[in-house]
Amino acid sequence: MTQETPISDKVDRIETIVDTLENGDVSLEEAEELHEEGQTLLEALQDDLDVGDGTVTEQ
Amino acid sequence: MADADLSQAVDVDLDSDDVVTVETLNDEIANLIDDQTDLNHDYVVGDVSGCRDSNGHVHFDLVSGEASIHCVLFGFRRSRANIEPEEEMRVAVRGELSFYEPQGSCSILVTDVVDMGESDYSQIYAESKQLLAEDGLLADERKQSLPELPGTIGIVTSADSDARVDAVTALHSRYPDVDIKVQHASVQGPDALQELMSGVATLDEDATVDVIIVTRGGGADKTLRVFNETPICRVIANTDTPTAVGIGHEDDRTLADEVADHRFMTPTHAGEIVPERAALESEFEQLSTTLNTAYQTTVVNQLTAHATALDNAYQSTVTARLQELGASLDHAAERHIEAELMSLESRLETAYQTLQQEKEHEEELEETVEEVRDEAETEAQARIEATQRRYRLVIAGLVLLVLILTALYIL
Repeated sequence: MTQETPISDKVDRIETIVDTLENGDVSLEEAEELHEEGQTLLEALQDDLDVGDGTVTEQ
Repeated sequence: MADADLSQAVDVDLDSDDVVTVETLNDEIANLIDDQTDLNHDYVVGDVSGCRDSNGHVHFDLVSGEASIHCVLFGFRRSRANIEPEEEMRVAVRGELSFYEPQGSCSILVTDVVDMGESDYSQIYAESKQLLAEDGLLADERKQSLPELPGTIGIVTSADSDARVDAVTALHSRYPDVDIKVQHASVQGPDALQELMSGVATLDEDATVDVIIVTRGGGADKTLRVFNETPICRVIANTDTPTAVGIGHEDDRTLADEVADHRFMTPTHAGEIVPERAALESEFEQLSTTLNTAYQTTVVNQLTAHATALDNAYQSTVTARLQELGASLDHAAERHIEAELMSLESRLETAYQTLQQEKEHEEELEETVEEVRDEAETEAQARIEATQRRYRLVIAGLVLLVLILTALYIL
């Protein structure tokens, strides 16, 4: 996923990761990789929140 | 009449003696209307616009061409009227003309309303809608999705209107960081159509704008009609940038609403174009917590599973080794016991043999003893018998002696 990936897709991916982890059918290595991917997506989501400066421009 | 107001004139030379106050003018108009019987018609025909219920009274504008007059059907007359006026209805109203002096406005105090069919504008509206529908501009399939989180929002509205303030406030109250570009356009009047079209087109060409909002506050239906014009509807429908339209009050619907990608009810509802930042942050925080919990649970479960597997493997190994050692021990014990038993058996056999020999020897001894005893007994018997014979001989001798002595004695 990239920074341009929609927020909902990122959220869906994290929820899929959570489901996969909760199903428990993953090795420790896979779990660590999934966790890191989820953390990266969460950081990207936090970055997504900073969309602008709240300026109002009259044209 | 002018003289009556001279005392109220200020000390400014108006170069005229004919100076009156508004109150006087309105009083004069009222008298003029009251005296003018030509103004009293049986019916006045027009289209109903801006129809609303207020405190049980029905207020509406009766519109014909570019002209309109305010009408009111008082509550106590509603049940006696032929029909109740409704929006976009062509009606003939009967009533008396009244001049409301405080506001200097004329109204018809309606006593009856007669249905005359659809208004001219209803037909125009229907034709416009039909045209847009034929061109596919009302189809849901062509509507674009609004961006989940627009960075810049363009608003086409009147720059000095309450709608502009309400829309900006609503957007920033939900998402303070979003940038807003306000493209001024008249929202009613002769310039409105061109300025609205130009405003939408300008924002559509601005690559930084993620969504275009077209909005204005409530007003008489007649003032909203520019948003039913097909040119502005086509511009809104054909933008590359997603559009959202909110015109008038909650119950106002325009064709611009219909062709837009999203409709919101009033400028105050423009905020729904953006998510609530606080809600998003809360959702992300919850996601983070859920992710970490799921990961930790997975790791703990995996480690527990590994520990259990390790324990099981250890237990299996130990058990197998113990079983092996146990088997060896059992085997060794059996061998040892067998040896012991054999040794014991041998010893027992030897002891038995010895015992048998001793027994035989003892029996032999017993036989010997028996023989000896028999010999001794025989010998003793013989001795006893010999003794007995000697005693008998002695006794016989003695008896004989006694007898001899007795005989001698006697003799």
